[in-house]
Amino acid sequence: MIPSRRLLSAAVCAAALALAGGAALAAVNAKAVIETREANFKSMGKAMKAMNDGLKADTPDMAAIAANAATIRGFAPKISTWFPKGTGPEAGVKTEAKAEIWTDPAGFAAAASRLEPEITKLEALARAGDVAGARAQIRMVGGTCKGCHDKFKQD
Amino acid sequence: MSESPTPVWDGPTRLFHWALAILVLVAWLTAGEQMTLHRGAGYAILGLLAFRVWWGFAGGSTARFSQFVRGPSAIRAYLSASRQGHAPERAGHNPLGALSVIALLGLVALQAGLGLFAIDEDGFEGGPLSDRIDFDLARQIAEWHELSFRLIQALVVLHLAAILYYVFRKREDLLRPMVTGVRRFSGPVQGLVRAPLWRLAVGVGIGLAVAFAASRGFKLG
Ligand code: HEC
Ligand code: HEM
Ligand code: HEM
Repeated sequence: MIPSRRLLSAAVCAAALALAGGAALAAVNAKAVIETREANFKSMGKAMKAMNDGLKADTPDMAAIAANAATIRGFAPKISTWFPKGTGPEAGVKTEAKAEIWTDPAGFAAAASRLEPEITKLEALARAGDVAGARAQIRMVGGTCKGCHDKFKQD
Repeated sequence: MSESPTPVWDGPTRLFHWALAILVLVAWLTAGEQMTLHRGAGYAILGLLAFRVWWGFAGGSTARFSQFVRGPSAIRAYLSASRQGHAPERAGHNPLGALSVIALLGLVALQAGLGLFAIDEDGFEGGPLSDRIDFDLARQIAEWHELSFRLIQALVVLHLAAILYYVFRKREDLLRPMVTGVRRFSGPVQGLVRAPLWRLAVGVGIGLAVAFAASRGFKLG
């Protein structure tokens, strides 16, 4: 039955093409995913710095601090969704994400979940105009960033 | 090697050296972890360097830059004399070692200077001047801060290798004089000429002032 054999080879070809195409697509996706999350993290770093610099002043602009805290609060619950499989060191794209994110998903989820309550608290303190409270609380927020980086981010 | 011990390094220069070595080690071990200590070590190093610059102009004879910073021809002359085994004995750095002294002092100054502007990726732990610049630049400077530390590590390895080379190949013990201040030469050698005490007092004042100002981010009041 020649036709069916031809069909089979066509199917194999199609499957191979789909696989290759899928891999290429995944690679493009991985690059986009990694670049997007790095940009988001950078925005969080900028917001942290702005709050820190602001809190150094004798009379900090607490509305600005609250706005920056809100930026981070907006990102916080999403962090764990920024690391789909295939976007780790094996992606062949420059990333500082460590393989542990995928080998220890529970640990990573726990590290990610620590940020939101701390940053929410900071935002509330800033809205209440509590300078001393905000100065103390930002250390807790910084600690959750560092806690995750130490374990799941390269150097 | 029977000539009586000749003074070669004054106390302040020796104290400077060992304090610098210890503080660089402290800064290394605390980097990224104990940032309050890390910055503290950095400010102390800036104070030490300010003292050393003053001492390089006003200190004991062997600490003076004018005595050991020499041109390429002096280095060539030293090298060829040394190869033939009759480099003149002298108190103080030889013209080649002086290069390493300058490089070490310069790099450590660069290191601490960059640290003042650096910030970690959390945007959280930063140098006292990082609030003058934006996050991207402060992160870039932190990368340079790390890079210049790699250079310091390489130079310190070279520094220690050179000292070992002098001990084992040239039978010159440079380490003991840096500890005790005195050295035995095989013939008479012009020893250290010490600086008056008031210059030490001025230098200590300069060092303390610089360390304090750096810790305050050079902000007045
Ligand atoms: C749950 C873990 C986790 C938490 C919490 C976290 N980060 Fe990160 N962060 C990472 C990982 C992983 C990377 C590396 C991402 C990559 O390179 O693909 C990273 C990268 C970064 C980067 C570098 C981005 C770049 O330009 O490559 C910055 C800046 C950053 N994070 C800031 C923060 C700040 C500020 C906080 C806290 C407010 C924070 N992060 C909280 C995991 C975390
Ligand atoms: C000469 C003395 C110093 C040495 C040897 C030194 C060394 C280092 C090293 C090895 C790192 C780690 C870089 C990394 O792994 O990312 C670091 C980070 C850092 N240092 Fe220093 N440092 C010195 C002085 C200073 C000073 C004076 C300051 C500021 C007052 C400073 C501020 C910082 C900051 C903010 C970081 C964090 C940057 C980051 O995480 O990338 N340092 N330092
Ligand atoms: C335990 C390690 C170290 C030992 C054993 C050591 C030993 C010495 C010795 C013997 C000298 C005298 C060289 C000569 O006779 O010309 C010297 C000079 C010097 N060393 Fe080190 N050193 C050490 C670590 C360091 C470190 C970590 C640094 C700085 C990063 C450093 C910076 C210098 C400088 C700047 C001088 C010149 C001293 C001056 O004229 O002020 N050393 N060292």
